[in-house]
Amino acid sequence: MTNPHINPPMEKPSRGVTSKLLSMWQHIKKDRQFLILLIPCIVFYIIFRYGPIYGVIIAFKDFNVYDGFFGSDWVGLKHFETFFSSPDFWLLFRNTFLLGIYTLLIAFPFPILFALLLNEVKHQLFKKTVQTISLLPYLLSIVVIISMLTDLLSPSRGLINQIIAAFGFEKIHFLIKPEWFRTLYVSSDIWASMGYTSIIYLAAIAGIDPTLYEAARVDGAKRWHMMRYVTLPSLIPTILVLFILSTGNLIKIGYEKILLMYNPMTYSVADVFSTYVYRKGLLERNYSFATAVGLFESVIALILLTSANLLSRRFGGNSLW
Amino acid sequence: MSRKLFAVLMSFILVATLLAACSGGNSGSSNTNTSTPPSSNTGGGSSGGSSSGGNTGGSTTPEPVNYGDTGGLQLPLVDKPTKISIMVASDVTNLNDSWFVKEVEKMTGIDLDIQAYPNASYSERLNVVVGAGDFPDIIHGLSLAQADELGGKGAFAAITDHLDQLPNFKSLYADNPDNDWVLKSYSDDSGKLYTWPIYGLNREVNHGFLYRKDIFDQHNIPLWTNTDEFYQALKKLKEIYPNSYPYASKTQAWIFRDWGYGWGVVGENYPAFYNEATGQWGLTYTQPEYKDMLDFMKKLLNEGLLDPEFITDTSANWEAKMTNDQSFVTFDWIGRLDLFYNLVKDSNPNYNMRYGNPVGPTNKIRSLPMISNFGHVVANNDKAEISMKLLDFFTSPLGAELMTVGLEGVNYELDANGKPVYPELKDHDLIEIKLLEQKYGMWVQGLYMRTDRRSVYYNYTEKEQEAQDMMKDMKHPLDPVLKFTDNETSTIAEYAQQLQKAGEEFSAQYIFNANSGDKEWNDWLARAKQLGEDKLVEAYNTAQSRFNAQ
Repeated sequence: MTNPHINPPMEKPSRGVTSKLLSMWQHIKKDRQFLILLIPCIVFYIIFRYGPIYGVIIAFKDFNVYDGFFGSDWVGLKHFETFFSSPDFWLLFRNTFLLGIYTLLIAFPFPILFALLLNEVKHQLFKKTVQTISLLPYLLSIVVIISMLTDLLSPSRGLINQIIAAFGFEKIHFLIKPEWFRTLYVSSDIWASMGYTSIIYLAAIAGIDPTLYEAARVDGAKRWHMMRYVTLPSLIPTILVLFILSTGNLIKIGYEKILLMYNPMTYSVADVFSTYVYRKGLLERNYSFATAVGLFESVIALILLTSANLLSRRFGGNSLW
Repeated sequence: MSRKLFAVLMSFILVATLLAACSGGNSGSSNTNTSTPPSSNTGGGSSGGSSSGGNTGGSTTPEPVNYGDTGGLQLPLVDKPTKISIMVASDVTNLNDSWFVKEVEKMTGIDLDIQAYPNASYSERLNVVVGAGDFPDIIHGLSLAQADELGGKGAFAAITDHLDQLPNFKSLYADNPDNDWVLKSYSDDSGKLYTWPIYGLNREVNHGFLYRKDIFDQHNIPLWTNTDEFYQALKKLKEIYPNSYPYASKTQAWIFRDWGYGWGVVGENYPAFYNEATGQWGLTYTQPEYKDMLDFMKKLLNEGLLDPEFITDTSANWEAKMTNDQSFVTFDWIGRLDLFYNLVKDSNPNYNMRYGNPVGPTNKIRSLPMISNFGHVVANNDKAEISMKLLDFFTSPLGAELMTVGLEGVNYELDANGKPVYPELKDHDLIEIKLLEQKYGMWVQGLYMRTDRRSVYYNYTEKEQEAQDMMKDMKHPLDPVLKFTDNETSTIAEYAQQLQKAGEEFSAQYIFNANSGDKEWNDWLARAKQLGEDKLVEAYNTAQSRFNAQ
C-alpha cells in the first residue's frame, strides 16, 4: 500500500517556484511531528557531545583549574612534542595498534558464529538459557574478570596449570610471559563480550524474511546451505556497519584492563598510550597532556573510521555514510 | 476504554515508582544519624542543627577562660560569632552537631561549618570545588605544587604573612630548628608558605618483614639478624616443606622498593634516593648495592625460596598462601599480624605471625616522617586571618588534645597507666579512631593538624608494641624534603616514571632469567643513561644544593 508520506516522484510543489530548497521546506512541514520528536535528541548531542569539544583547546595550553579553560597559557604543540619524543613512543604505538587489530580481527567473528549457531538451535528453552548465560560475563566488572583470570592461570594453584600438569606437561607461568599477553587479552575480551554482541546479530537474523528460507528449501537447500546462502548474505549490512564502528575504536585501548593484567615482565608488549598517560598523571595532574594524547588518538580513530567507510563503500556497496 | 485506562494507569505507576525510588534514597540516608553526644558541657543550647552564629558560647566573654595550653593563643579567637567553612573527608553525617564542633565553638567563638564528603569521592569533589573557584575557607588535599601555583595566583592566603598571629605555628615550625625545613621545602619560589603541615601523625613502625613465629619455633629456626641468616632460615623451611615457597609477596613491583631500604638505595622520592654519605642524590636502579639485592633475590628465586608469583599475585592469592602454610615470611603493613590471626584463629589457634628483623646489609627499615603534608590551605578572603588562627588553635596542645583524645573529665578519664578511657564507650571492645569520629567528631581528616600521643591511635597491640621496641634504633634516616622549580618538577615527572617503569622491567627480567649477570647489568646501566638518568639526578642535586645554601 502506498505510504501517504512518500511523495510520488513527479509531484510539483504547490508554489510556482521549482527550487530544491522549497521542496525541502515542504518535507520539513510534512514531517514536522517526527522532527519535533527528534529535537531532544539533537539538543542532547549539541550540549553534551559537540559542545564540550571546545575543551580540546587545553591540549594546546598549560591547563590549571584556577585559570580555567580560557585563562591558561598557550603552549602550542609542546605536549605533542613531549609525547612524540618520549623514547617509548613507537613501542606504545605498536602495542596499542597490535592489541587493537588483534581484538578487531580475532574477536570480531566470534559473536557472528555464535549467533549463527544459536539460530540453528531448535529447542527454545535451551536456546534462551544459553543466550542468557552467555550474556552474563559482560555484566561483570573488569576487576572481577582479571582476578578470576589471575587465579585460573596461577602456576601454583590455578586450574589451567593443574590440568596441564595432569597431562604430564610442564606448568606455564602465563602472566609473566610476553608471548602470552596478547592471547590472554583477546581471549578474555571474547569471553566477556561475545554473548552481548551476538544479541545484535540474532536480532538481525530474526529480521530476515522467512520467504527467502522457503524459496531456498524449495530449491533443495540443506541447513548448511541456508546458512551460507541466505543468513550470511542478509547479515552482511549489519556486519559491515559494526565492523566500521569497531575500526573507530581500534586505537582506543582503555587502561583499566591493561593496568590489571600487566606486570614488569610484560611491559614491553602491554604498555599502551593510556597506561603511559595514567603513569605520567600520577606525578602531576596534567590534564593538558592527557587531552593531547586523547586528541591524537581521536584523530587516528577518525582517519581509520573514514577509511573503513570509504573502502566499504567502494568494495561492498554498503557503508555508514 | 478500560484498556486505555489500564495503559495509562500502568505508565503512571511506573513513573511513580521511579520517583519514589529516587527520593526514597535521600530520605533513607538522612535517617542514619549518629546519635548526638550528650550535651554535658555548659551553655546547654538546643542539641539539634548547627545554627549560624548567635549561639551559646559564641558571644563575647568578659575574660578569657583557661581551657588548657593554647600555646599563647588568646581564647576566644573572635569578638563576634564567625562562621568558618571547612571541607573534610569523612563518612560521618551531621558532623556539625558533633561534640567536637560544639567545644570548638565554645572555646574559640568560631562556628564551624563542616562540609563533609565521603572518603571515596573526596578528591573528585575537591577538583570540582577548586575548578569552580568557589571554595570553603579551609580545604585540604591539593598537592604541594598545585597549592603553591594557585597560592601564587592569589587563591590562597600565605601563612608566612601572618606568622605573628600564629604562636603555635611559630613555636612548632618556624622557630624550631628540627622542623623549620618546612618553611624551606614547602614554600613557593618567593618564600611564601601556603600549606599548613600536620605534626606527629605517623606511627613509627608501619611496615616490615613478617614471619610465622610458631613455625620457626617449632623447627628451631632462630629469627634472622642478617641477610645470610634470612637466607638460611628460608632454606631450612624449604627443606621441611618442599612444596612451599617460604617467601611470598603481594606487592608486585613494589617489592623492589620495599626491599631496597635494606640495601640503602631507596627513599621517600623513589626511584631517586639521597645518599647520606656523599650528600648526593642517585637513581635506585643503577646502584651497585641494588645489583647485590637483585642477585640475592635471584638466588632465592632459583632455589625455590621466593614464590615466582610474587610479581603477579593478588592480595587474595597471597592471603591464601600465608594462611594455609604455603608461605611463611612476607613483607607488609603491620596490621596484617592481627588480621591474619583473626582469619585463621579458629582453625589454627597456634598461628603466630610476628614482626621480623630487617633484611639487607644496612639492617634498617623505612622511617616515616614526623611531619605530613595533606595540602591544607586557607582561602584568601576576608576571613583568612581567622581561619589561620583556627588552624593555629588546632596546632596547639589543647587543640591536639581536643581533636585526638578529648577533654579530660568531659569525655575521657585517665586510667592507672595514663591511657585515656571513654566511659560512654565502655560497651565497645575496641576504641579506635573511627569510633571516636562517629561519636564525638574527633579524628576527622581535614581537621586534625597535630596529634596528642596519648590518643588511642597510638595504642599499640602487643604485636605492634613489640615491633616498635625492636625497631627503635634501626630506622633509616629521612631524605631531605626539597623544593623544586617548575622546570625541575616537569623534568622529574618526565624521567622518574619512565625510569621507574624501565627499572622495574629490568629488575624482573634479571631475576627471572637464570643466566643473567654482569653483561645484562652493564647493558642496563647504559640504557638508564639513555632514558635520562643523569637529567633526573641533576634536577635533584640542583635542588639539594639550593636547600643546603638556605
